Amino acid sequence: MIRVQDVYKSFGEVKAVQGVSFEAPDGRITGLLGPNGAGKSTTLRMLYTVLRPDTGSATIDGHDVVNSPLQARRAIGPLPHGSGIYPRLTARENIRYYGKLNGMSGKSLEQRIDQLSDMLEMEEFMDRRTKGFSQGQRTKVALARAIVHEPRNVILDEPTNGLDVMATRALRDLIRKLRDHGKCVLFSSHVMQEVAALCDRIVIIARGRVVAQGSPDALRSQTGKDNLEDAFVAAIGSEEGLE
Amino acid sequence: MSGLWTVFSKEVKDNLRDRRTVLSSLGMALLSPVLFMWLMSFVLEQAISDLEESVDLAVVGADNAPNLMAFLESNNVSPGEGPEDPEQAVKDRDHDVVLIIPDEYGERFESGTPATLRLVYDSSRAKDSEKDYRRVRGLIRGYSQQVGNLRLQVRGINPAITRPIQVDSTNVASPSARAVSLLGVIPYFVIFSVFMGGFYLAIDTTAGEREQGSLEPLLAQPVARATLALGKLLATAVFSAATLVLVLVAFSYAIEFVPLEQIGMSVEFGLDKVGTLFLGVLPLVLLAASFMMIIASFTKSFKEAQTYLTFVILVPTMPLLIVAFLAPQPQMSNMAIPSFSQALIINEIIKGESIAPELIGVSVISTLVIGLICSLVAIRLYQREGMLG
Repeated sequence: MIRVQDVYKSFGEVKAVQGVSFEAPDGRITGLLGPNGAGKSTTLRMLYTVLRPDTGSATIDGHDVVNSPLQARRAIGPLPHGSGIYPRLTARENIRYYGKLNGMSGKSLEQRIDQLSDMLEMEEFMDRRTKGFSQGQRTKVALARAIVHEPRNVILDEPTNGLDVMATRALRDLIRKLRDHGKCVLFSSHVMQEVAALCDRIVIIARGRVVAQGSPDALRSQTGKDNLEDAFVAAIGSEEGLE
Repeated sequence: MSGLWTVFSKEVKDNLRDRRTVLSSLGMALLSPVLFMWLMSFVLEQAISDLEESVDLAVVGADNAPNLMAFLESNNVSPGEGPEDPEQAVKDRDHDVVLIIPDEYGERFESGTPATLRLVYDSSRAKDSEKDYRRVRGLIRGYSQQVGNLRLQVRGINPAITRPIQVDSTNVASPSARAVSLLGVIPYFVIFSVFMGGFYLAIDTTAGEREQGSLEPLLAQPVARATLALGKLLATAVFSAATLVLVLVAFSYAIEFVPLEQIGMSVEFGLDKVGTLFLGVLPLVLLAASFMMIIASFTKSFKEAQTYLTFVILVPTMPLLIVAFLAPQPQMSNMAIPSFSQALIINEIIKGESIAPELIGVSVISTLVIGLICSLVAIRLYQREGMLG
């Protein structure tokens, strides 16, 4: 369960986030939708505690991201935008490193790694150094690494960027599986169709503010448009940054 | 502090697989002693050969001056048969120097009037002709003075009266002095290796990690940022210390191949000294690692970090050349300077001289204190938001 309350963040003159509030409940997929530069990444970065909000607060399973960042981090599996893996380590070593950083060790860690390898179909390249991996393979490693400690909350920043059709489908399946296991999944995207295909709840962000939120149906009725894309355009007030 | 060992061991493993890191450590460790040994042997060989090399001298009319010939021979000059046309022979490089002794030499010598000898040489051939010419001319002057002195003594006059002024020159740039000053380059190589050993880790764990996008997910892990930074700093320091050991051991082997005893010099650089030297330089390791990490933290990319660091590590290493050429004595004031004081310690130890314990104490304490401050700054920098760039 992720709760964000009236969060602000500026970088010098640039006001990246200006009062964002939303909730992402457990057992649901929540999509953060917005044009490029709307403040999606900045919001997520504050959730996984690499940035501090100027004002406002955010909690993960009740842990405040500012006051108890370590507990908050323990409760999430973050996949930052363009998440890099270590090219001189094998896929398995990359995942094991994060397992250990999360306090796992020994047999249970190795079993969990094998389980992830099955789930994400990674056997083939598990023990190869990741230098030269395809974008799809790299995303799988980064994702496995993010959820190795079975976090209750999974935060994915533009996870399908650069993936081909098959890899995207596999990722969607995984996200649904995580939801079915009762996890709270929060992911961001600027691609309308993707959010529409996957999300139970949509939070639309534009110019650093939440302009609409609710289920896809609720959004359609809120804006009075039948088509979700029209509803999106109506909500953000322009077509700028859309794909 | 949980996670410290995880971070540390991951960085060590990761960087042992990095060819750049390993090459810069091993390369430093092996290349500099080899380079040094080669330079040293070259300079020493020259020094030794200059002293002992015998000169072949072509002499025309050797029969006219048997005593002179005997004198030359006793001074390592071997007279040989002279050519028909001495000038042409020297021009054609058949001979380096030709000594011509005219027939009237004996007659003039006995009557006490100056007997003239002629030397034919080619000053454009500085290496052989000119060098041999100076040697032979010097010897003949010496012989002439010797005979002159004898003549004065026979007449009851002190020969010193003919020398109102005597000049004694000392050439400090003699070949063996050059060799001694070359030894002063060792501290420079050793200290430089401390920096080179951690060079790529300092970059890889900061700017490199940021550039490849692995820093952001790492910072989102449930490990304190200070722990992450400390683990990386320790890994950098360990690589730097390992390179230091390698370089010291390599030097102690290399130096055995340099024929220093032939110029009457001894260098204390056996394997037993390696431990002492290592301990003397060890405090610098922490400072070097944290100093480079601070610089790398401010850069945006691996390339940028590399450029800055290459330039910045000249600051602590360049002054060491002063040690090599001016050979300052350890004092309270200069032993407080990190890097400089370690160079002085190395210098004194390999010369077999002792340093006052309080001077070593000043070096250790000041270097450790500055190293700890730099470490705190490096860890602090890791905690700021701007770290993500």
